[in-house]
Amino acid sequence: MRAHDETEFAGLVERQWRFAYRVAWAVLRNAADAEDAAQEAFLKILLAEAWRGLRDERAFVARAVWRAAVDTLRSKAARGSGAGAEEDWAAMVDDARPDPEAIAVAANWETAVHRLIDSLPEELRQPLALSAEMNSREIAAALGIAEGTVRTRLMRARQILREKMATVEERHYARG
Amino acid sequence: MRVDEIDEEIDAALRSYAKPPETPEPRVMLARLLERARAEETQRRRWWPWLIPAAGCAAALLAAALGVVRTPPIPSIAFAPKAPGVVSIPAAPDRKPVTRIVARVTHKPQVHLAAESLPKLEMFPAPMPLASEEQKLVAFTRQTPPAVVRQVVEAKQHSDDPLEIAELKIQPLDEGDNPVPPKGKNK
Repeated sequence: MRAHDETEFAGLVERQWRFAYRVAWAVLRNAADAEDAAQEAFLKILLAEAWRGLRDERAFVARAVWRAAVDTLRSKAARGSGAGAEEDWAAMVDDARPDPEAIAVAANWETAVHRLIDSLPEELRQPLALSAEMNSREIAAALGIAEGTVRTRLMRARQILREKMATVEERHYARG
Repeated sequence: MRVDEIDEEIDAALRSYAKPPETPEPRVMLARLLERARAEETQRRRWWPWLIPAAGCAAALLAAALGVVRTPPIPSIAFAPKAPGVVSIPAAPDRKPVTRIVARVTHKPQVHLAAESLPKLEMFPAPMPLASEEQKLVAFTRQTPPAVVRQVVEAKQHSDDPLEIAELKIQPLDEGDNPVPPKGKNK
């Protein structure tokens, strides 16, 4: 690698690393996995020499990192790890049992909402998580779907969250 | 809880949800990335010296395989029957291709035998059995008197001639049948 190329690539990493890491984190929710995915994406960009002449480097990096993160997610799912908490909380909300113990475990409300977000289907959770970092257009570019689809998914995700939060809160008050 | 409050809570939870606890420093990451890139490049280069001989071996194997599959065509002289008037010229003693041709002929005896075993035809093309229409035509000519057959044949021959229609001649109307009153005679 020539010195000039190295400098150029270093500039890209300096500018986009934090954003890339946040995108990976939003998808993976695990520091080590997010770091690996972001690194993998940058390594692919470097080896393919794809950083030259980028029109929208933020969108390009977001797409590359999201792909790497989804690959990590798939390989983790194939290994069968990380699905436990999601299933527990989905069961907690959908279940008609009056006193789910998990609510008591989740001491603060924000953590409970995080768990509810985790319980969303991936096609809804990912755009919702990325919406904290990007707008609908950027999410659409990263995920390779239409902007209208992103908006629909965000609305659906929020609707489901509202319903689940209302249910959890009712149960919480019912317990006293 | 109102919908607005729920939405606010969702937004707040989302912000904290998407915020990683600690972001690694870009410079540290860059150093790791470059290190990994160099390692990958070294690994790639490790294969380069083997690549050219491997490609050569593959090409040689391919050529050998093609050589086995494609047998050269057998010269027609090996199959040509000797005509009585043709004088065969003996090959030069130091010419090896003649012996090679003979050797190739011996590899395919069954082809030669199959060609010889076919019966020799006296007529060419070979007579074919009559079709049903032809059989009917033969039966018709045998049963029908020759005069009728001739008429049929003639009618058939003239069937394509253009039709001749005689010119129509219409006679003027006879004045006696339908008398026209003369003008001015009543005066």
